[in-house]
Amino acid sequence: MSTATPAALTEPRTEPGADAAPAVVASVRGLRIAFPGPDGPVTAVHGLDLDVERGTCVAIVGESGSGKTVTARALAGLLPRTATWSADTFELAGRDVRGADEHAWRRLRGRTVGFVLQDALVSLDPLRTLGAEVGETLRTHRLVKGRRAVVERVHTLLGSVGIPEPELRARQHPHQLSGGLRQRGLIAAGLAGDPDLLVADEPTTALDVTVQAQILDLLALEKQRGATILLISHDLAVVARIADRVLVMRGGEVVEQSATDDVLRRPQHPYTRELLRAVPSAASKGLRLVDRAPLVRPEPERTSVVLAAEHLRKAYRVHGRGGATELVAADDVSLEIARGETLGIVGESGSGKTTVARIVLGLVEPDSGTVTLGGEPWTGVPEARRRHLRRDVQLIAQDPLGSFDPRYTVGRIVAESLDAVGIRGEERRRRVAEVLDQVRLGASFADRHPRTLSGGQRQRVSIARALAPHPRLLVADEPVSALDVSVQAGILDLLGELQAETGTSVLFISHDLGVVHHVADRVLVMTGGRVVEQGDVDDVFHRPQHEYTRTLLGALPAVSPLG
Amino acid sequence: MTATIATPAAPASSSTDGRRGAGRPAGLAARLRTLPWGVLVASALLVLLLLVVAFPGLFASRGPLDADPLRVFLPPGHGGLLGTDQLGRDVWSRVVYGARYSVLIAVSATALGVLAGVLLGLLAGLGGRVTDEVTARGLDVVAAFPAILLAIVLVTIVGPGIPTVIVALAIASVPRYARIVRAETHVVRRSAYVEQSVTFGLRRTTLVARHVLPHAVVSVPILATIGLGTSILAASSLSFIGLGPKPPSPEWGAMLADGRNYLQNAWWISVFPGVAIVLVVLSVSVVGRWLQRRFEHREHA
Repeated sequence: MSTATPAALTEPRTEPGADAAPAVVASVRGLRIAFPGPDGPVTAVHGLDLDVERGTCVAIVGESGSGKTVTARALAGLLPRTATWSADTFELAGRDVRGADEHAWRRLRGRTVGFVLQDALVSLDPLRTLGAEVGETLRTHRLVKGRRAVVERVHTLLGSVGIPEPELRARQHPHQLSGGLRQRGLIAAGLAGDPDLLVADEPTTALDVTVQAQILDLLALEKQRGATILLISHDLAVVARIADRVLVMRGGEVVEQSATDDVLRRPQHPYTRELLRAVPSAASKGLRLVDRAPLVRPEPERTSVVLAAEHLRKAYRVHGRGGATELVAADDVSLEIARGETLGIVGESGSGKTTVARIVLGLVEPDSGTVTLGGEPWTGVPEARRRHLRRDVQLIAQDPLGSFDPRYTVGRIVAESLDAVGIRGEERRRRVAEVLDQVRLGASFADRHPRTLSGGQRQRVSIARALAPHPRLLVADEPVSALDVSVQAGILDLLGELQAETGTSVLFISHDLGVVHHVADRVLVMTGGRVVEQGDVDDVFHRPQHEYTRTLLGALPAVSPLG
Repeated sequence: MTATIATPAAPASSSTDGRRGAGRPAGLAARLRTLPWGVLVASALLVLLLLVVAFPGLFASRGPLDADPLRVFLPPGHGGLLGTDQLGRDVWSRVVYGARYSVLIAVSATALGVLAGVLLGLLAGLGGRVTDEVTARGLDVVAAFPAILLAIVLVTIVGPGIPTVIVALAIASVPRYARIVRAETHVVRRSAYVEQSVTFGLRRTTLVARHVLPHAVVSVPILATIGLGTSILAASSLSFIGLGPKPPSPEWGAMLADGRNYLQNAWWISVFPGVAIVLVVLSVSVVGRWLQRRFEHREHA
């Protein structure tokens, strides 16, 4: 990799886009950011140093609370008013911006720094067309003269970020666009003023793998075209694809900073190593993620089928402009889960995986097809006849907090599933304490309120509740998607251990192929409501037969496994 | 000078009181000091109203119906605190004893309205599409008629009297409660935690009682407080046009109607009951709105 040229730092900026433009686009030394807290200021960033050279991509990686987003916002002058900050050096395109007021920042934003926000749905004004949004920078900075010229430039920009039919898309509103198109639109808006530095804060977080791959390709293409990018992400695999340098942040400090390859292959700091180890993949199968110790689960008992679904079909009526149409959410889906087995379902949003989960949970009746639970009919029977079976299928939801009654304490939440099976009084109290111990929280958590718990602890409560009535099948619907990678590792390890202890079966639904490869014995690949491929997880992921599975696997950003 | 020094200190101390109050119970006096003065005055008036309703004998020495043909049309101060009316009855005593009617009618009507509203709202919110639509449109029809008109219809059917007024006001207030409960139920029944409790195998009634009802009715007490004020006003209006308690009952609205014939010579006969109505309705509204603001603030926090 190239090293910083100190001479460039002192060179003043002359003309925008001139040859004399400094080689270091952003130069920061000793950046400190603090927020007011109840007991005095809380430091979010402790003395960060950062150089971004022209035409390169630098990534900041860290978990929630690491200070990565605050740093990104500082670079665009978008810190909240309450924040206080200081720096020894803070130069953008060779200009010292430490004393810049809002007015000065307004001139810098768009031209010197382009900012791509995280959530494409909320970052675009729902009342304005995509074209109006993208053209805003052009109009504000009067970069292009004349309305017609602005419109043409917007079309060119939308085309260059890979939006098909830019003339049509420019006239559409955010709700008419898919997540991928919205994110492309945001990137086009960030690039509109041809900024010296493009700051992208988690640009792919809410997107499906294949769309994420397209966005990463687009950013890589923009870098080739000469854009300078500062990428913020929680995902090492994402930044590995395009970043030249990586900064790993933790608790407001940069713990490691070097070329991407070095960080991924020869990590120096224990935290970086811990982060890399925590990423689930094929290589981590049969191991605990936290310490890579063996995690032995008994072989599934193939002859004892816990749940079998045959030819499930579910369609929803969608009222659109052309009258009601049918949306087939699940079409001819069959699956079987053996005792002690983990069956994974992977698919992108709209693939029907959640519909299948809801049918398995008995929350939705299929239009046709049957489900049997331990040989007894589970669908097509009146609620009264299957109520006694409900304890056997329990749900671990993606958002634990939403699945708790907001008035309830942890103890009451966990106790509720026991209530329904007639376990009361002292016996119930004992079981609650027991499962809270099993999920490594301890009985003392029973009096806590979920709001006071961390995301990982909440998911543990949710697992404890699901385990309490001794279910035969756990349905885990994206149980770790909202968690940081190190917290995710803890939850996945816990699930594996509990499964080994209790011998329960798990239906594991996820969009994350690495996670599914790590946990599942067998896997179903779904798209458009259909199962396109199924089988042993190693077979499917190493020797994919179906075109779609290959696309999915190809789109997966991968960190090469750590030895 | 002293004032300018003292002023900046005051908000600081009150804000720490507020924080302490949120955490653990602080002294009542400290908590009261954080209230806006308007709310304080309104609450004091309502406490006084309740005392008057419970023990009218403590506040008035004469009975509300004690006529004295020798002491008619005496102005305030000369014959009793607020003067006497055309039959020589003490206006102050009548206002004091009349509080009972207003409070009885308003509280009963509101309680009845809340009960029916919550049940209808739940029925609509939990029922199928047909039940929901029929109930919701029915509520729209009721809401389209003013309470007065409903009462007139009712009175022509069953005759005037306190029960009629209560029932009429209750019916008129049902849509207000039913609509909010219906809307909340719609939200809650689709929430993840209700869905989750279905997977436990809870009975439907248990599920509704535990997870739907408590969340659907959170804003009802506040609406009911504000509704009390409206009911007091409406009850007085109905009495005013002769649909409420029969004379000589000292109902405020009826007294207002009674006194308006003598307005030029003895204004006090109708003005004081009017002042009583205004004060009570205003106090209830101030307290109700304050509760509402606090509740919304907590929801957003």
